[in-house]
Amino acid sequence: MIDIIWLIIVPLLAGFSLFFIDLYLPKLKGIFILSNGLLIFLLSISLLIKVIDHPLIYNLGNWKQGLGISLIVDPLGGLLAVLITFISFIILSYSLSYIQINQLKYYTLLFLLITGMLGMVLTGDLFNLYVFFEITSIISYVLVAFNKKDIAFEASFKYMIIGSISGILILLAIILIYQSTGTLNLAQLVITAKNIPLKLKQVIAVLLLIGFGSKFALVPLHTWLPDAHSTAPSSISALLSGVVIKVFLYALLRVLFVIFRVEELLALKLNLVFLYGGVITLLTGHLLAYRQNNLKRLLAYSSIAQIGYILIGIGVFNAAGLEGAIYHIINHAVVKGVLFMTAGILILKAKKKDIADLKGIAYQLPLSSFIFTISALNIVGLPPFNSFISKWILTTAALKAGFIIPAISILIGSLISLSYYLKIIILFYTKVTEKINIISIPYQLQLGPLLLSLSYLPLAFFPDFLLLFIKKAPLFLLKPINYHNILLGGEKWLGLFG
Amino acid sequence: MRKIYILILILGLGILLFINFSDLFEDSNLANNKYQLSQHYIENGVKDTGAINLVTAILFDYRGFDTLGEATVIFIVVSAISLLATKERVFVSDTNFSQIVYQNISFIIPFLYILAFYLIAYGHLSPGGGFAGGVVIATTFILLKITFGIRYVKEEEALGKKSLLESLGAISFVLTGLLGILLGYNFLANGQTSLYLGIAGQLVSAGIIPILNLATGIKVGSGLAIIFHRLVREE
Repeated sequence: MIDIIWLIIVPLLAGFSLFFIDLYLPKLKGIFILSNGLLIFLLSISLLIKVIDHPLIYNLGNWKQGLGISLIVDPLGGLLAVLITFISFIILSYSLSYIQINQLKYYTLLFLLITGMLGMVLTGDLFNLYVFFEITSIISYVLVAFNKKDIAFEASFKYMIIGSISGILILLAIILIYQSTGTLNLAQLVITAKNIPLKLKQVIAVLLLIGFGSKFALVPLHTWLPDAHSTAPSSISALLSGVVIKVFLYALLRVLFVIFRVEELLALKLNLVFLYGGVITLLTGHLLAYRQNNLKRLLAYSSIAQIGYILIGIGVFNAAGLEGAIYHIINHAVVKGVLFMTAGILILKAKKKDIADLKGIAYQLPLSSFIFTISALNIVGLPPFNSFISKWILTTAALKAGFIIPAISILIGSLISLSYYLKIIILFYTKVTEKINIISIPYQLQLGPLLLSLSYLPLAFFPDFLLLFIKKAPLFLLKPINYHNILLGGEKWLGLFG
Repeated sequence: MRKIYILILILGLGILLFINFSDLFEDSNLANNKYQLSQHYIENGVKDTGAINLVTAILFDYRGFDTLGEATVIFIVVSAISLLATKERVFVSDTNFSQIVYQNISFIIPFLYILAFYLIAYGHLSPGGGFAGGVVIATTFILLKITFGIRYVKEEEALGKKSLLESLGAISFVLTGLLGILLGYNFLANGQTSLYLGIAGQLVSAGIIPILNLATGIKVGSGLAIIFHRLVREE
């Protein structure tokens, strides 16, 4: 029986003890990093298998419910924990050959970033969520500026200002919730939140939406993202675009569904905010991506657009929409991770960042370019790839709920993205008669993207297996009373229509 | 024009917050369940944790996990500043203070150390604790640097030692928490275990709280000293 807490302790200890490893056993550093990454991944898999049937609860310091801090993990938390650890492991292995300077500080911060994200996903306490939120945010600011170039400092500073303001807003929301209920435990809040007057709930909802929204790049709060994600080292960009913004999205979902019942959300018209906010985010992201010259900047804008798809799925507020949203979260994390990592390799080879300068790169780096092409077509949503499945679920869910405009905009967005990704791919495979760069790319660098891209196959051809896990998640979001019943250790969960 | 716009924005936000918070303080019909948690802390805190200082009881026992998070934040900030603050070679200052300053600082440093470790050791009995004590430890380093100047070559060695201490403090915090798991309870378990809590009010009491305080103190002290050294510039 392995407890939840080890998922947080292992990366934390790894981050703290890297200094000693570097000092006394410098030869073992790579092995230490990889083995820790693998260990966390295996732990999260075992956690998911347990959680899928019986959500778990872990009381720190053996305090009884509500006195101390608890970790509460439901199926969605377990799924995201596996996603975080999987992508992190790949990125750790990629970084070993990608990052050449300041390795000690880099891995220390990376392990603590993994800790922060896992903490946000696993925690069942409102203030504890805020602590991990700050850990995740601060490390993101630092790692964006890791290259120490002027442009990176500027991007990091922009990110830091917007991020700090959003943190303050979230803290205000937490203070308001605690003032009016007297509880911080999320599962107990399901019951006590009924005491909050509706006027105050609106203020809390606005604070949460702006606070977390500026963290997962809800248009018009997205201005920091393209700068931050394009100037960071490629390994960090993959992590930021793939997982970090999704974790903030999860936090918003969790807190919103705990405090509000679905009827209240519909009465406040919050579903329209999500739906049309999603539409605006999607179209803005795609249209701005279309006009980019810098490859990584284009990928960053594409990330904003994908967040729009996920928001549309959430805005439908039923089981089908949420399933599509969670499926798309997983797909986008995997695919965008591969895209950023291969983009990093291509830029390393060409020593230039603009798309026009990468002309004909496919004949020098056939494998990486092929992986990039596959992933680009994947994220556009062409069948038979996995993103097509999640977009299909999202579109049908929106149509069934009677939202025509979001459903059509998903299609339009996919068409726009097809045009700009095809433009890149055609450019890559254009013959050029130029002298070939002599920079050699180590094969270890290509292993990470290759491994991650192999996961397209199960995601695309056996979607039912993943949907088995995903189908369990909406139950605890849409019926918060189920989330509360985890405290009682119940076996029976209320159905969505019961 | 821009200033007026910003002022209006701030005023609007202030009014909004004032309305919301004032409602909360006047509203007393929820009192019996709203203050349940704080009532429990005030009534049973000493009995549960063995620490007289209730703030320490909440910080290191009821919500010890949050404190670990906060300590991690300081660790991150130290790493960040070491990473991003560019290291320029600094020369030994040739500005001389008067003899009075040198004598006084040399005289006061040991007492500052005593004060710092008193604050850490008595964290569960009187105001103070790991964070405050750690800041006082850092002050001693800062005072020494300001008065006697920065001898760059020796400082690099000292910085390595400080980083070592900082990692040690952080690791010992986690290991102390793991003690709870070893004893068959949960992470950071203290008050709810069969550990000997001692008699409340004595120096050796409150289970693992003094150890956590010491770990935090060492960590914060060395961390803040590193931050100061990284950011200091001499003309």
